[in-house]
Amino acid sequence: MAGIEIALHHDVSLLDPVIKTPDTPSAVVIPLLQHRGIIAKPIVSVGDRVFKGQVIADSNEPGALPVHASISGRVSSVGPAVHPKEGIHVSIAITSDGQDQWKQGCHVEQTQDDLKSLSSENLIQMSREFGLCDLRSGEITHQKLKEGIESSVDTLILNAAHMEPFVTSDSILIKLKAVEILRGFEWLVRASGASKAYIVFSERDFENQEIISSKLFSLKISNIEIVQSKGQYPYDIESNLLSEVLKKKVPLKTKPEDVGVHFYSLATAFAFYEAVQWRKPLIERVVTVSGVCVVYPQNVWARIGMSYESVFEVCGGLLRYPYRLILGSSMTGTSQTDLQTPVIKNTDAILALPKEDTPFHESESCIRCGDCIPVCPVSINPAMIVEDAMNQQWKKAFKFSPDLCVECGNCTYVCPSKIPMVEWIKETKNQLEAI
Amino acid sequence: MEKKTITNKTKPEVTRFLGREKTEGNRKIAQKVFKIVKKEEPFLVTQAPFVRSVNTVSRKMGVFILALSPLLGVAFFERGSLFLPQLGHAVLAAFVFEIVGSIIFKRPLRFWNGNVILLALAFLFLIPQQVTWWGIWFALFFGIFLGRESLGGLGKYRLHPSILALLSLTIFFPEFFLRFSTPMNLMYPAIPQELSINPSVLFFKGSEYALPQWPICVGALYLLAKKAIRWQTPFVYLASIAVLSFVLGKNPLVEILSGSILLVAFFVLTEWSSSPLTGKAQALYALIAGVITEVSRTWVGSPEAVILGVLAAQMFTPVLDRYIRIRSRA
Ligand code: SF4
Ligand code: SF4
Repeated sequence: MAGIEIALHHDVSLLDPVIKTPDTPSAVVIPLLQHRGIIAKPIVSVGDRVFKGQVIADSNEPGALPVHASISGRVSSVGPAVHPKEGIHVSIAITSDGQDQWKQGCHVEQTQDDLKSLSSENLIQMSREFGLCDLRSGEITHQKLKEGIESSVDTLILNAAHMEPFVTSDSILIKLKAVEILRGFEWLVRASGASKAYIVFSERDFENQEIISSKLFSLKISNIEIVQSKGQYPYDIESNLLSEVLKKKVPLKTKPEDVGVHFYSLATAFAFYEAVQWRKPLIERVVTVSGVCVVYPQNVWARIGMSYESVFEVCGGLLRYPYRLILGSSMTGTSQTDLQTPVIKNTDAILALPKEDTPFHESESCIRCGDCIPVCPVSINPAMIVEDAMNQQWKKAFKFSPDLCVECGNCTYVCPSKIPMVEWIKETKNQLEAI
Repeated sequence: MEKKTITNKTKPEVTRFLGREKTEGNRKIAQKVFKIVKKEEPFLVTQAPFVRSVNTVSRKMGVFILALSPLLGVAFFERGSLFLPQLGHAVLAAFVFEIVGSIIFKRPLRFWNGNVILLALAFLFLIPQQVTWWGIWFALFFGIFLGRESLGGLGKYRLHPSILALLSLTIFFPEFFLRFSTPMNLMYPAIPQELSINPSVLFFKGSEYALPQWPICVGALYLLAKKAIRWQTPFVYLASIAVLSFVLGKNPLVEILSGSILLVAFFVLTEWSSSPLTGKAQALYALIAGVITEVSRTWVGSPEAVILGVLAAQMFTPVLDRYIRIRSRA
């Protein structure tokens, strides 16, 4: 599989190999849209007293997911506020009362006896109740599990091969919470009724693979297998992982469920563990705070709804004013405009980068050097797509299969003319959806 | 794409600024606390990826110019007095036409990226020694001004400007090509008999009429090692010429080492703007070029065999690009 050798900068935030627990934030703003789907209706109003873990928005519609309060206190407003991806969106703001009190029945460790009797339906019901969605893509977990049962998915793959520059929130979870991840994955396997389970690692991530395999050995877990995938960045092209796991060639266009496989991310497995073992709703997650502008780059247990500014303060503040504020990694992230933006369920990293690391590049016209072609992991010809897109020839561009693009950013990264190719390819995709 | 700016009213305010000195892995917090600096400008908003590689156009051109430098050195050494004025005029003319072109067609000036130097050098090694300075200016007006600038500059033309310049010279001033004392002898059939018996002379020593070929091979190895060119274009081109000439009963080695076949294979056919993008398409393109070159050398016997071959293949570039897809839509 084609790709590029890329500097991962993981050491920046792994210098302190801890996940820092911050003080309870004084206020949070919890957006209702944190998953892929539709939003739930707020069931609290301004002035209501809420406890940590209490449901503050719920709805019975299929694409909706309950939202939980992440601190205890009073609801200070219900209405539009900044959202990391959508600009402005409906949110519920809560001011802390300083007590950080759990709702009755939440955060109680379950005994083995409680857990033995759990059936697949119970687990799926639980994952809805505790507001679980994929902590990277935002897919709703209980829907994915149900779909898996309906379409008889019999293999689950825990994707530990996902490595992005600067983002270490998965890596630190393996280093510190390996057992919990494995338990969570076992619960996921039980809930989905799958018969085979694999964990895939990239060959570049040998250290973490060793940790997991030693834990598998000492816990005597025999039904989970470790698979190593080869290749350069991006490390987790699905068809590549599938062919490594299934030991046969899988065409690029295959969806995982077509071959009876579902992917889950590491952080999701950990959240599932917490939900089952501790009855803990998804109210906090590991967020990597990194970049040269941060005083102590490290990983933080950030409550959902904490503003970026307070997350930075946990890491010692900002050394200097960043040139860009980025949600996610430097290859696939999203630019952020406001330090008051809240952390949501699929915020995996916040980067504050200075100008010398991420300068603005003026683009020139394509010199047709072809550098972008060998680096594309899905072997399409991005140069031709961009050329046609620049001439507004969307139909012609479609012939070069832009729909296969995974938006990894490799082509833009290597382009000597600094053309924002991913932007053009995304635009082509949008145009084609519109047709 | 335009640089997007954002207009958010709430000014981001940074509350704490601590200085940290990071020396050799030692984390040492500086005692000094900087004054709070408020900045007015918002964070820059663009789309991912936010980091780019160090790959730039001028860097890529530099590799090519470096790869041509052994040949330049040999040319200086062997025929400096004839070669130097030609070099000066060619580079100057290329710069002048590019700058004038950029001004007339209202494009940003990009002459420092070295592309025109490369074109001028390629042209220089293809022409006979006795071409006068006005001949060079005339040819480069065709090649660079009409063939490159008027079409939109780097990346927009589909025929190699140096070859176009050479073509204009052979059409308008054929008398330059009657004698064969050239830096890189283009006139294939006029090769002296004793040389064609021993290809190693062509390779190492050159002749009165042509420079030795080893500097090109050195440059080519450098290009391949640097991954500046794909192997498809030069090797398919050379292989097709070798096979075809063998079938036609000639000595393939002499065939490749005489004329400017090696130079064209590594430095002219691989030019980005006029060659197809993908490896598969490049192989086909080189095959067309090789076959047409060899056929016109044999039957037409014209000195412009290489020109014909290159231009004919480059006519196919847009078609090859569009229809040889790496992956077709299912
Ligand atoms: S962004 Fe899309 S087109 Fe570009 S390299 Fe990645 S997959 Fe290929
Ligand atoms: S890398 Fe950039 S300049 Fe080169 S072919 Fe691709 S788009 Fe064009």
